[in-house]
Amino acid sequence: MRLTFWRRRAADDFAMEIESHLAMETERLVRSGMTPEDAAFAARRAFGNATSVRERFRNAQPAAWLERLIQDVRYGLRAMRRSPGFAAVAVLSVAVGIGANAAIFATINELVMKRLPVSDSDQLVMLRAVDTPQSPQGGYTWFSYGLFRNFREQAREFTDVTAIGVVDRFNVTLSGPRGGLDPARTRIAIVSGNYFSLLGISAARGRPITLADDRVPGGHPVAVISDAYWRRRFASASDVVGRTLGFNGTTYDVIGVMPGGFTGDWVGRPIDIWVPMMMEAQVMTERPGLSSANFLRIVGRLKPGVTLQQAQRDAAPLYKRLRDEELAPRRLAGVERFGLVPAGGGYSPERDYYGTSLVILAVAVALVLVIACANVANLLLARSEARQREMALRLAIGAGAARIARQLITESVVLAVIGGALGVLLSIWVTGIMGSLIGGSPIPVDSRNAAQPLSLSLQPDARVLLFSTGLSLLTAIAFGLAPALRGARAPLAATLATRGEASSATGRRHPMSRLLVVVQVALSLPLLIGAGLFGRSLQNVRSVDLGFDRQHTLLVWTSPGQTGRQGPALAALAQTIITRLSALSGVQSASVASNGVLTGIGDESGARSENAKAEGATPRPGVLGISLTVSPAYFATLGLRVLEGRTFTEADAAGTQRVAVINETMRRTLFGGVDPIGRHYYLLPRDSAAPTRVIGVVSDAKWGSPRDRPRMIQYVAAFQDAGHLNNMVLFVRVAGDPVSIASRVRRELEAIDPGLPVIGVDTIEQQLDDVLAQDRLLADLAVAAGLVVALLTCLGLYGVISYVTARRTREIGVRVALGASRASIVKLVVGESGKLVIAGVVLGVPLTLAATRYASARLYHVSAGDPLYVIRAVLLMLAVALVASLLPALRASRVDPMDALRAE
Amino acid sequence: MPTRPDDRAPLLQGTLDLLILRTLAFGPHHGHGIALAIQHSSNQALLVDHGSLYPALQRMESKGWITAEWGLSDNNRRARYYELTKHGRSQLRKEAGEWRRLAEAITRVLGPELAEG
Repeated sequence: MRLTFWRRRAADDFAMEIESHLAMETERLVRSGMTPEDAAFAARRAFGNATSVRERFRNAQPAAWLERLIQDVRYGLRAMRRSPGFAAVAVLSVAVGIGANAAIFATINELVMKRLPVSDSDQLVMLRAVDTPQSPQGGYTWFSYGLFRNFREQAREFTDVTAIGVVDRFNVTLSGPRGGLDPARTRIAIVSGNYFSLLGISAARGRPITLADDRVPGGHPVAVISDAYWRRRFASASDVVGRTLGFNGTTYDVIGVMPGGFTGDWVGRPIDIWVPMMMEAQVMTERPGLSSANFLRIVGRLKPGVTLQQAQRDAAPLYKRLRDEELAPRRLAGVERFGLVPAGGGYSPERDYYGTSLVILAVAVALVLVIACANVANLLLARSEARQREMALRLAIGAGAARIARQLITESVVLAVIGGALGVLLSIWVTGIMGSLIGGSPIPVDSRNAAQPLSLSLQPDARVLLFSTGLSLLTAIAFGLAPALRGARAPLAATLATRGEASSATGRRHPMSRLLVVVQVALSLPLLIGAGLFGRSLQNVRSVDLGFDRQHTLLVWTSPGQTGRQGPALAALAQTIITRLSALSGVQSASVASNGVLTGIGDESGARSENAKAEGATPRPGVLGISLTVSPAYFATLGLRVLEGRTFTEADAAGTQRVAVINETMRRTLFGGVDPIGRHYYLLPRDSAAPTRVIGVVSDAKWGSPRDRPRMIQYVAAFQDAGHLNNMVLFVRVAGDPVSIASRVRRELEAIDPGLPVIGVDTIEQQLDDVLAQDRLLADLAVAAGLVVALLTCLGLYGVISYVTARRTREIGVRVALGASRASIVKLVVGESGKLVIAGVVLGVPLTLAATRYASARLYHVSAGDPLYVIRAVLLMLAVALVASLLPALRASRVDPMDALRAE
Repeated sequence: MPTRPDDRAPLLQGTLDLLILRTLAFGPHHGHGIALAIQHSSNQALLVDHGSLYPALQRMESKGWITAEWGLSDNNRRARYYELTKHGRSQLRKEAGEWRRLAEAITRVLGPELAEG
């Protein structure tokens, strides 16, 4: 390319050249005998349209498109400033539409689409054994270290196999400046030595844990920390490698810092500290030891060329054999279904658990966006009518039709880009809400910890930004195209002649606006009906009788096992806590248990009633049993009814015969019609030497979700067997609001043992909220979407009806002149809007019935096709139509016939 | 001029470039001069809209066929002078050849002049 291409020629240079041309031509004509005036005129005539020539010159400039774009954008912004109301509604419509979509997309991106930042993530697979379809971990079970070790040695289709366990600690102490005890939640991953090498991740500073750090039990006190933890707790200290951190009485050398992108392989649960597997006993002092506890996930890297199916064929019999060997001493057999699942996207039980809901939400927000687009398109159409004179004028003075169309498209894009940018900001907020709603689900990190928010990355990544930008431009085209085409076709003479008034006086106008409103109504219906259904479903599931009192009890989740207490020491601590808390004023009763309520997690998974024996009866096959260790006041604290026999007393202490209280379901399953009081049973073959005697039967209570059917629960006496109290939940019952006592309970616990980790404090209602996270997510977002679309539709209808009515001013004037009453005019206008809504309803109802069927799996005790909700939504739409058309109708009814006719 | 009824032919699309190149082959000229030269050398048979000349010159300058320089005209008036570049010369050869082939072809199609009316 030659340099001239790049050298911009100034516009006045060009103008000067034209001047020079005209001067020379005039001179020539004067010489041929014309008067100077005639000559100048003729020169100009010969030259043609100088403005258009200059325009053509500008367009031929290399950077002209940019100049035009800037000009168009400036013009667009000016147009927006001229009608701020229109601009605000349009931009907000787009922002809400884009924001909702970006938030759902960001969530899906985070859970489903993102890959782990590791090498060849496609080769990663995770072992998955499902014991029951409704397993609380979303269909996953954990594995023992023994099983992992054997699997790693014997599995043939893998390059290597690694294991990860995750626990939360609340007592990490740091060395160095600003060190000290950190009572906040610290998430610790216990990993086998090959974890980092298998994933292919190296440390950003120092080095990762290697196989050499994982040989001798208790012999490798080293730790790798995450980038976020390094920044948060070590203030990004450059000398962090070599400092120490300690918890549960062991001090670890910090040997490395992971790169910022890697937070472990559990999606949304970022790890703070990684330690070698061999330190398991030091990290989890409350657990019995490495090989027996099921607390690990197993991840393998497939050999190159091996498919998941091949590996699964090879691994399934191996797993079955290892599992049977493991269970043999307990005289049990593995019952799980085994499989391999892709792990390149990380471990995310939420991915499966929320799959359907996310699809429902994605469809809902897509509808919101379409409705928002229809709304803006309508506003633009109405405005383009109002601007017809302006457009015609611009056409008349020589702007090309294409130029006008481009100008209008640019205005739409400006709208969409501003709306989109606002939308992305909005989406950050919504994504945070999504994270807390999703993370609140009953998917615990450690098997007995309270739920906690999912840490979704709030910074939109490139994919989310690309999605939002693309969507913004798409919406711009969607809502900008029709007005642009119309604008460029503005009938010149007619428009200019009628001073901007209607070019067609019939009142019948472009069907486009009406069609858009009908579509808006039709698409709003599924969302409104969905909001009703999900709202009702949430109410239904929330008001299910849980079997215990939910109003007055405070739950305090503690982990005394982490203080090193065992057996009798745990029982003593429990006794102290109960006595001291009961003495607090306002406390009606206090008790402890080995688990909270509605956690869905049992102590005896693997126990089925087929394996049980009951004295004098034959147990029916039944669901898994749950064993809870509780103090005597537990039943009174929670308000469980005693149906037969008695509950525990102080007399049921260590050394006495093992007794149990069972619930109704367990009584039915084990004993059938036989009176169980005083009879013996055992749940597992290994217990056969010391069977348990039934002393009482209590009413059933929900264990996991309120949706669940009741499960067998046996209650054992805390002071007879405190072995399960290493995680201990305190129940404090008060007369009023349980939250009111929370701080006093905390202080009291601190006084008893400042080192006792308090994992969380909540109420049963909060616990229920967590369990119902998915229902709340759907209900909240469905209601929000319903409100938004109702508002948008209202605005859209208002715009169209006011516009149509304004166009009919003359007709209405004639009607009034001919004796039509004000009321009949109002009816005319409202009827117009009613017609549009009814057309939308006729289209929307079948659409809804087809769509909501898909959602019915997530509904509780409410039918997706329930006409009540259809009718309600239709009535709401009609109300919206009435509201939207009332103002234009009243305006029309006040039309003065003389004015209206004079306007002719 | 368009208002005066005469039998001068409006320029065919794309031929203006060729005429400009041909005119400049005799030496540098300014826009006004080019317009007059085209009219003269075609014996006033071709109609050049003066206005359309300049965007064409601009376009050809961008393509590197011609270069421009401000200078003084015979009447001591500032004018922008255009000159053919090497690239422009070869372009002229190419376009002239194409035009001749096209004209010949069209002449052959039309055949000998028909005696009309």
